[in-house]
Amino acid sequence: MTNTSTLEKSTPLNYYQEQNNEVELFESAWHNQLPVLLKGPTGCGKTRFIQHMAEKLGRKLYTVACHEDLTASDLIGRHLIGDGKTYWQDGPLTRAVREGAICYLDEVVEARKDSIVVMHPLTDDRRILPIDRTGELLHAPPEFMLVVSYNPGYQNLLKGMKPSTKQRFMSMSFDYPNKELEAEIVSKEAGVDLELAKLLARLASHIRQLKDHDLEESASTRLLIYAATLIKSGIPVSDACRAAIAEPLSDDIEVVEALMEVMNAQLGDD
Amino acid sequence: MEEWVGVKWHHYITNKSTIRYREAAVSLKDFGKRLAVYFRALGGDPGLSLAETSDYIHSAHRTFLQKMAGSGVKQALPHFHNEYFFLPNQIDCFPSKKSNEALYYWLTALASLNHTPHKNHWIKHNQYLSQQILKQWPGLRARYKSLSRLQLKHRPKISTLPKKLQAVERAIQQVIADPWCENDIEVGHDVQSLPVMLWLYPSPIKTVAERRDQQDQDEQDQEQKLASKNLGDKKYKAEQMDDRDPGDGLIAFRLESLFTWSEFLNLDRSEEDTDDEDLQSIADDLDKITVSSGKTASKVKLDLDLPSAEYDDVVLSGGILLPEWHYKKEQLIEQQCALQTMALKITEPAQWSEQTQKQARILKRQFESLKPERKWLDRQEQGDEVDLNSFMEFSVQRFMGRGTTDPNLYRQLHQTNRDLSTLLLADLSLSTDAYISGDRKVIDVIRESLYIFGECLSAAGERFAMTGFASKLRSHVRYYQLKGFDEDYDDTVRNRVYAIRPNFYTRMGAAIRYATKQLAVQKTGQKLLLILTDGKPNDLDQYEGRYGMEDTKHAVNAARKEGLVPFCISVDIEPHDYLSYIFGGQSFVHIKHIEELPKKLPLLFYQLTT
Ligand SMILES: Nc1ncnc2c1ncn2[C@@H]1O[C@H](COP(=O)(O)OP(=O)(O)OP(=O)(O)O)[C@@H](O)[C@H]1O
Ligand SMILES: [Mg+2]
Repeated sequence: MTNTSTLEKSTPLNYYQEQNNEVELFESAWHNQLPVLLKGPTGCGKTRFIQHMAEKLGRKLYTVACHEDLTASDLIGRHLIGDGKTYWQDGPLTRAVREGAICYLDEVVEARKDSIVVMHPLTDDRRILPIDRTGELLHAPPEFMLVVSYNPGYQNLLKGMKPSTKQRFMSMSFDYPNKELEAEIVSKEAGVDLELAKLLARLASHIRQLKDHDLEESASTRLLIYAATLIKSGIPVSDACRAAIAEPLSDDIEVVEALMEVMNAQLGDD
Repeated sequence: MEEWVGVKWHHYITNKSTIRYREAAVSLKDFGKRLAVYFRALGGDPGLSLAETSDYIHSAHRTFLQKMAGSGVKQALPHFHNEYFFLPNQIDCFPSKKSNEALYYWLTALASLNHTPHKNHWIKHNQYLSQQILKQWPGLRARYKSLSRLQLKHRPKISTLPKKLQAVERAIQQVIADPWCENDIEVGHDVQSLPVMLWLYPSPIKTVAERRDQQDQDEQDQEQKLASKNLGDKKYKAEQMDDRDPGDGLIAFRLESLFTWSEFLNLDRSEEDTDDEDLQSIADDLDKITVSSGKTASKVKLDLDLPSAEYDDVVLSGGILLPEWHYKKEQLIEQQCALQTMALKITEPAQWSEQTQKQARILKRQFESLKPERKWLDRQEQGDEVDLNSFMEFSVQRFMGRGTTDPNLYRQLHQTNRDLSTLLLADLSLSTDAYISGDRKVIDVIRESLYIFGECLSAAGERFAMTGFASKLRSHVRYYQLKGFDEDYDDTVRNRVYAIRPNFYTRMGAAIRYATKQLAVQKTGQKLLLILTDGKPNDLDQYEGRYGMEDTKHAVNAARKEGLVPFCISVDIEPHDYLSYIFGGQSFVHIKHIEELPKKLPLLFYQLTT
């Protein structure tokens, strides 16, 4: 349900290719104790970015993938029994506050609104976390940071973030990188040569034109990396693109075939 | 001029120049969708649609054999026209299906550059387009090579041609063989050469005879298909009406434009609140407009009388009185509109086309998987499993000496229904009588959309209702109940959906207010009001224009206050600003290609609610 990633300080920084000035902006938010909202389509590097930043700032990162059944206790903590007595176990949010870590709530709109309100007192200048069950009141240290993310691509009438919640965050918008940067990312991540990565990135930029009209989602950087990885391990290019790009993007056979033709036009079919 | 035919005609028996390989034919209707996606992915203007061309007689120098056979003279040529890119409805010029298919893709690729080849530089321009595509899409080079080889086999031998055609033919063949070759021939497209299957053409090429035919055809066509490309600007609209479409058809005409004409022509509508304005005078006015606009509009009859009882739908209720917002007075005037709930007169059982049924099946399958899952409910008094969390909490409490009397320590699987009711309110006004393409009208698309929407939502186990509305002044707002919340989606409902037809005008506010009432009494926590319309509010009185917009906006806001979530799906020609004015920036979507509505509507519902 919640996934906590602990990072060793000694490992080299998670590779993140900066697109604009997001690294500096994020650092500045951290120094000034501002909570941050990351927006962007799926697979564009939000998670990678936050991992990178946590390492860069030397903070531990607690990641919570939000979902409908997430309760406030899942975030804050609950009582447990062991050794014949009860004890309190912190949830990821509480732990992050205590340790001055970064707490990252991924896909925050998926969580129910009543679970989300627990973070309100943390996101204004009080920066406190009251724990009702134990009566404790935590003051967040300056190193603590709350980061949430969501994908604004699909509009949902019944969910969605309240404007008043949105306004508690500084917002950073992410999108797929331009062809050159994306090729570099794909080449580094999948370990393929830059020429192949460039072709894939070009292909993606064309397929992205189909968003809204023919496709609900754009081809993500993540999918390109999948395709490149398959090709690297010896799968023929067109099979790799079908499996990692065309099929994941659409269930409509006509669209899949059209995407394959676009791929052929880019990479050749013979 | 024709002497060469006599001399060398036997040669043409073996010349495959315009021979068709029937068995290798591929047709656009099997590839249309793929090509459209391909076109857009390569950079083609997403505002254009693909369409098929009928055959044109081209003015090529025909062979004797071809003349004898009376075939081979017609060739469908790819070209742009208005909002369309036309492709041959069938390609069979090459001996294998694969090559003919590849030709479709090649032509579409050329078109994706969004150029109409220049009339006077037809060869040069196609050469340029070919170069661009081969440069941008290296994967197509191998394909082009084999296509060009095939095409060259079909070209007439240069020595057999009359002298004056030789230079042109030589240039054509050079460019086909190598798009990077040097050539300085400047020729227009109507030169007497055989068509080049690999190239685009400037615009329909027509012989005089055909033009004459076309004119007759036009006279007939024009009655139904009126040009109206961009209704954004009223003046332009009026001009458009005179602009004769040269015959590719597929032009939409919106009755809406007629209504807005009255605004344009500045009819003497008195500024006072003339909601009881004499019906006849409006009718006369409108008549005048239709007449003065010439034959073009004669097909559009404004039948302002209610149909005779025999043909009319059945009135179910004597009139529900609803308020209306008067924006100038800033006042909600009570009992201003009378709304009748109606039952549609069903004359025949629903007959959906094969394609529509197929589409419904595919989408339905997707929606079946969305059926509310069974879910574990925690903290139950009884259940199949122990709820560890609540047991833990209970134990903790007991440890601390704060035992609860009724511990709910179990979990149970429950069929959880979504806590949502949805009402789809469809605009059935006369504007939906407009043609979109061929003999398809807006209402046909709406009908299919409602059908597929119903299939999908019932497959997903959603709680929903479908209704439609039309109006004729404030005294007659007709509200059609197609499916009630508690009704099953069955053949009775399908027949009703099938029976919808265009009717009068669009007094949207009253319909929204009544739909709000219906939704408000539903016991679910969430209530979604989807409004499907093809234009802005209008009616014969002052409802047209600002008044109607303000009233509708007011009704939408009132629905919101009731806790409903109103959302508009517009299939108007343009995504006009009025949509965000009435519904708010986040609460509408404009569907540009109305033909996509049947598929998009259920998907949109899914997107908006999950
Ligand atoms: N700027 C970047 N630098 C380095 N790697 C990147 C970058 N952008 C994307 N990637 C690669 O793309 C993959 C997907 O990115 P990531 O998981 O961060 O996406 P996300 O935005 O969190 O997506 P989702 O919304 O689906 O969670 C990463 O694993 C990484 O390999
Ligand atoms: Mg992520």
